[in-house]
Amino acid sequence: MVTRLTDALAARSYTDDELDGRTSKHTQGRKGWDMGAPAPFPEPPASVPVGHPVEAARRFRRFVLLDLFAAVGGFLVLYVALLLLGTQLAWPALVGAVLCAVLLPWSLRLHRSGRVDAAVLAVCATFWLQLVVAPLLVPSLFGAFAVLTVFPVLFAIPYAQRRTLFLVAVVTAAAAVTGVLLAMRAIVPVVSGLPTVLVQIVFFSVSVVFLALGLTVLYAHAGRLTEAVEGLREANAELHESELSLERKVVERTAQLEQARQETAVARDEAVGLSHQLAAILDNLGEGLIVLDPAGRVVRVNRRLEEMLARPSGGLLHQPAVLVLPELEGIGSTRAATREIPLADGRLGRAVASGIVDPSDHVSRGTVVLVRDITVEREVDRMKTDFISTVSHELRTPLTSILGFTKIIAKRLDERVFPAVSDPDPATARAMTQVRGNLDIISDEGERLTGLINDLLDLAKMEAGRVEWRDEDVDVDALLRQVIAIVEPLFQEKHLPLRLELEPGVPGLRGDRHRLEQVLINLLSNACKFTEAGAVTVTTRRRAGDVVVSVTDTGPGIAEGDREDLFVRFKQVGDTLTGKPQGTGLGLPICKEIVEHHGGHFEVDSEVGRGTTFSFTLPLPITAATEPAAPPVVDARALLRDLRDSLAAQHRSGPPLILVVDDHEPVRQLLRQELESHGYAVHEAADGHEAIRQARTLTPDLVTLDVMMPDVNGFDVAAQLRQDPATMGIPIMIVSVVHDEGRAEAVGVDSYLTKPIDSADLVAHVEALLTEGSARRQVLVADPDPRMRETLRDTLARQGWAVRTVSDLSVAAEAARTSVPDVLIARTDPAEPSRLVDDLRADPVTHGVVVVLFE
Amino acid sequence: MSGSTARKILIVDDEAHIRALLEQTLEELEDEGVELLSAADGEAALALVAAERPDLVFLDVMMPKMNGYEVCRAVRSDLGLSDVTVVLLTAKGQDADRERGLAVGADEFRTKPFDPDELLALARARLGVDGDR
Repeated sequence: MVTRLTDALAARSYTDDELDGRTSKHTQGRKGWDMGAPAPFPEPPASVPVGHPVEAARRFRRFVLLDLFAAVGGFLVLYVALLLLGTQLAWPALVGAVLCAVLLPWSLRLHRSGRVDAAVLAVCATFWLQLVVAPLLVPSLFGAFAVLTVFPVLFAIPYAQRRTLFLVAVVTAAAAVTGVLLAMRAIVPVVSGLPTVLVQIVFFSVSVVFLALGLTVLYAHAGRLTEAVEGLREANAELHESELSLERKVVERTAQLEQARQETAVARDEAVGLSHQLAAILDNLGEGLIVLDPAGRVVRVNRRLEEMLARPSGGLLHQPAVLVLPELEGIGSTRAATREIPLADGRLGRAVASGIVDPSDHVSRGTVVLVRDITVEREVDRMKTDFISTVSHELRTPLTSILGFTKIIAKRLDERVFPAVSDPDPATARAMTQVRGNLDIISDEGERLTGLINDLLDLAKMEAGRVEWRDEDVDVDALLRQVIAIVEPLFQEKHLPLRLELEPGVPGLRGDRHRLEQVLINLLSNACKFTEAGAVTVTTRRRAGDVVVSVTDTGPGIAEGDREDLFVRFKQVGDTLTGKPQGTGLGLPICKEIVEHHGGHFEVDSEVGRGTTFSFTLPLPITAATEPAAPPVVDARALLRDLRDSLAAQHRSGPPLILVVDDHEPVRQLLRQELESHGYAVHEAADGHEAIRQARTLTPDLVTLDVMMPDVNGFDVAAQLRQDPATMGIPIMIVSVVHDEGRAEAVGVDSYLTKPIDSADLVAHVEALLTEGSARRQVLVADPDPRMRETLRDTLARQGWAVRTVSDLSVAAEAARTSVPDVLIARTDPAEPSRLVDDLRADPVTHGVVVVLFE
Repeated sequence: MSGSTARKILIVDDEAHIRALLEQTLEELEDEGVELLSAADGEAALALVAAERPDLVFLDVMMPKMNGYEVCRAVRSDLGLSDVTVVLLTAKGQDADRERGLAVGADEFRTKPFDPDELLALARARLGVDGDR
């Protein structure tokens, strides 16, 4: 029985009541989650854990059945034994057996129906019956039955409420006292000699005191047990609650995960969709697209481009762009550039490249190139240009007559007719003045019309892309000084100061020098035209990756509403009825075309009454913009000393002999006079053939060459002189109206003078070429750094060397072969040994050239 | 240069007005012993060049039958005359035209409308006749 009790205790505290409630709650809860969460709820484990309410109910039933067996069996055994012993008083045992047999199944029924306290009381009642009946029938067995007093309380502890437990304890005590009283009948004869009453009182008192003590201890203990059980029950409930909340959390988290998974899937689908959409957009773009990485390799193309070039899909990827489209070479070096590229089937495309430049560090991340098929456009443009060209021709021919005859008439009037009219009457004199004035007006208007036709043709050609743009190194400072020299007379005429404010260190850029010159001349002559007092200022400054050139005047200013019209063809700003229209109205549109071709744009800032600033930007090469220009370091003196030591001087006696080549007699005369007055001996040649012949026989110290000559032009003469071993060392100076220094450099010309000739300039150039009365030393400088090249050129030229420069070491040998310098100065990369010296030594023409290498 | 004292200038243009203009422009050179000749098309011009060996030719580019470039090339290569100064006159005046003109051996290139005084100065310079002297 003790084991059973421990089992009952171990069966924790779940009643059927709680069990049912819990189950229903559990079910409800699950229903609730079912609605909210699609995730399957984790199934409870199949094995029932210890302390589970189902197990507790089974233990209760098992205990009741055992009690039924023991109590009913005990009463029946007692009844039979008493009958056999012949005792008259045996029936209470039978009554007890019957009562127990009724009470215990009833208790089970109560327990099943959830009335646990009643069930407990019913079970306890069987113990109370035994406590009363047993001493009644067999007083001497009271001791054995006394142990039953603990059972009701112990049994009730796990199941009963606190109040029921108290009731059980009280009733048990009453039953025990009754049992003691009944048992006392048999004790009396045991202690004889003492008054029966006294013995009974003592026995009763001692029994009651012990019972009370035992029950108190038991009750107190039971209280603690009950508390512990309740604690356990709460803990269990909490545990259960936490299990529930854990389950809930698992369900919630699962639901969240599911949601997140779905969201991710949606996002992924969207991203994939977007990427497809983007690819579809790019593929269906009307223009071809190429994206290049900073190394110039193709990283992306669209289908349109592959169609344009008739290339298989994906065939262009990862190739260097210059292999695919050689025209794209160098396109990444500026931030914006336009090139024309041939497409498949003889079609023509225009590639517009934009650098992907990180604004934080100005480092190129690659290039985006958009290619548009301009075949049809070009055809239309060509027709338009042809039309304009024809029209302009048709206009020019009558204009030629009008202007020409007007001028001749004016001349004849001035020279012959007017002087012949002696002493005219006032009416005739007025008519003569009017006629002369009218002729000037016809002349002026004719000139204006001619200018308009020229501008129109220019603009049409630009818009049609039929202008042959040069791509050459442009030094902005030099360009400005050149332009200012051209426009200065305009300013002097108006007594208007022209100021120049140049930011130092603006690097060179690539572009068409003459076209940029055209822009500046236009802006400056406009500024001069519109400014009556004050000054015109030209400034350059660097801004981000651009150089900004501004022309500021102190003229009347331009109202804000008119500024947009400035660059619109034929829109002349201001009131054209009252104000005299000036210019053709095409100057600024042409300037805009030129600047935009270079990747720049115009800005106009003006205040009416204060003046106007026209600015345009030109993008600088990206490399120049990213790295601050480091001043070139070269020990020029040491270099020169080396050169001197390396060379044996070749002195020539007598005054230096200069061969002047020009087909134009007056020019030859002018040069002869200038040069002879400075102590040079001069020979003349009137054409290229004669020049070459004389150069061979005379071996002059210097040749000056005109470019535009019959038969053989100056460049060809220079090239021939350079190729002939007898004349290749003679310095050549071009003196011409033709301005093509690039070509001059290519054929080995040492110096370049533009007509009209400034005599001081001429002599300075000649002296520079013929220093210290000795034959000049020709030096070829090969250095990739333009600043270093300039430094060397300046330093060496000041020391009397004729300096030629090349930018690339790889062409140095070739350049040396054509010009055969006395000395070649080359900057070599120590990490990349050059074959330059080997190449020079291997060639009989250049094997004697002194080579100075520096790093 | 040409050692002949009888200097000749040939004027070639299909437009009679332009020929007249050129003649009037250059007529004062006649006082200095220069003979003025004129032709209205390329073929006639080439025949005159061959026959008269002018020192200077003012040659229009756009002409029927034979254009100025063709005449110039024929003068240089077919007639082998390198000492005839050829000045091309054109109403087109584009860079490409100028280059083409120089390529066929023209010495000068002038666009229409031209300044009569400038052409006169050019003729004087080419012929070595100085009117101021």
